[in-house]
Amino acid sequence: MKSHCNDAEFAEALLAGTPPAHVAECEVCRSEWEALGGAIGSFRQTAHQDAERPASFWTAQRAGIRSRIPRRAMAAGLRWAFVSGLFLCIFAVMLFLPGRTSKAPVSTNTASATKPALDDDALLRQVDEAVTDDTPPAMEPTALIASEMNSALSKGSQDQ
Amino acid sequence: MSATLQPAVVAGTVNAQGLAEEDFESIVLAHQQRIYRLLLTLLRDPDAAASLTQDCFLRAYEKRHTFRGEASVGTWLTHIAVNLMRDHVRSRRQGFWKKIFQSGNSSDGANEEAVSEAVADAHATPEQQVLAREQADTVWRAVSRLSGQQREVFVLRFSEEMPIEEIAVALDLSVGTVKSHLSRAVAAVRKHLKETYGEIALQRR
Repeated sequence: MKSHCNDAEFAEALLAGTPPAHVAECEVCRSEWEALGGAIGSFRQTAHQDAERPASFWTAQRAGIRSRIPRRAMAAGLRWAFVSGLFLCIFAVMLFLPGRTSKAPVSTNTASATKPALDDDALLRQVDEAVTDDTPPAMEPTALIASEMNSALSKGSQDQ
Repeated sequence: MSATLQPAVVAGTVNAQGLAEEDFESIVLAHQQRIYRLLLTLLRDPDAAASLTQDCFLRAYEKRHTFRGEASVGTWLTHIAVNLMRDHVRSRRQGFWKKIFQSGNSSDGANEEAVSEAVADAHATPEQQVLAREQADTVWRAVSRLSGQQREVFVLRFSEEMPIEEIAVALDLSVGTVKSHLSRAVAAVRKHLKETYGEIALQRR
């Protein structure tokens, strides 16, 4: 005669929903099968009965779900808007941050562009003065000697 | 959202590119009781079960475009519900499953009455009702001592009566692993029944 059913055989039979063949010829296993099946059946029945709720409960559940859907969608939209705004702010701060290397060359270029312009003006002024002057710069020493001789001669004639 | 839905979608045989928004309310209507019951059986906390049921459908709504009909809608929702339940248990680990012991040991009789009412059969004698209550209580206690996955498998199979293949999909396990968990869970329940009632008493039942 076969020994009593083991756990695996009971589990297999429970899954299949049919008692093990051995149960038909063994009073002990039949009792245990009935007890196990009955207990699990009671467990299922209890679980189902515990979860029974009035219709108003299910309606409220659906209303709760419905009310949370737009809020979630809006929250997602706000999240994206916030992230986009944050990126824009960071970009703006980086763009206008003082002491940035990108701004330095601009100021340098402006200075270097202004300075030659000033030098050019001075040079032009010098050229104008030289052109309008009676004595060319190269002849200035000679002109100085000549003027000193003239003044000495005129001084001598006054003394006589 | 409309209240109409093709039966194929409710039954879970849809092959469309995701679930249409207009189908969503009908899906909630068709599955909310089963999802709530599953979460209540696993958590034994009505408030948490109600809250997580809503979360489950909200997550399903957000991910409706990813549903490809490879599994049924019911299996897909079960997968979401079990994941939410696991997250919930992780965040409130200390309180998990204590309620089952409290309900089993309560002396005020309220829970016993609830269980008694739950298993009461209009045609059952008072002795049969008491026996059914004791049996259910014993299984609850045994289930509470199972590991997380064993408990999930046991509840999905014996409370929700899901096929093994669907349990495997819902829990991301192989069919062999599901069977193994079930075998161990049944062994644990059987052992607990024997410990509670004794070999002889069990045999007399």
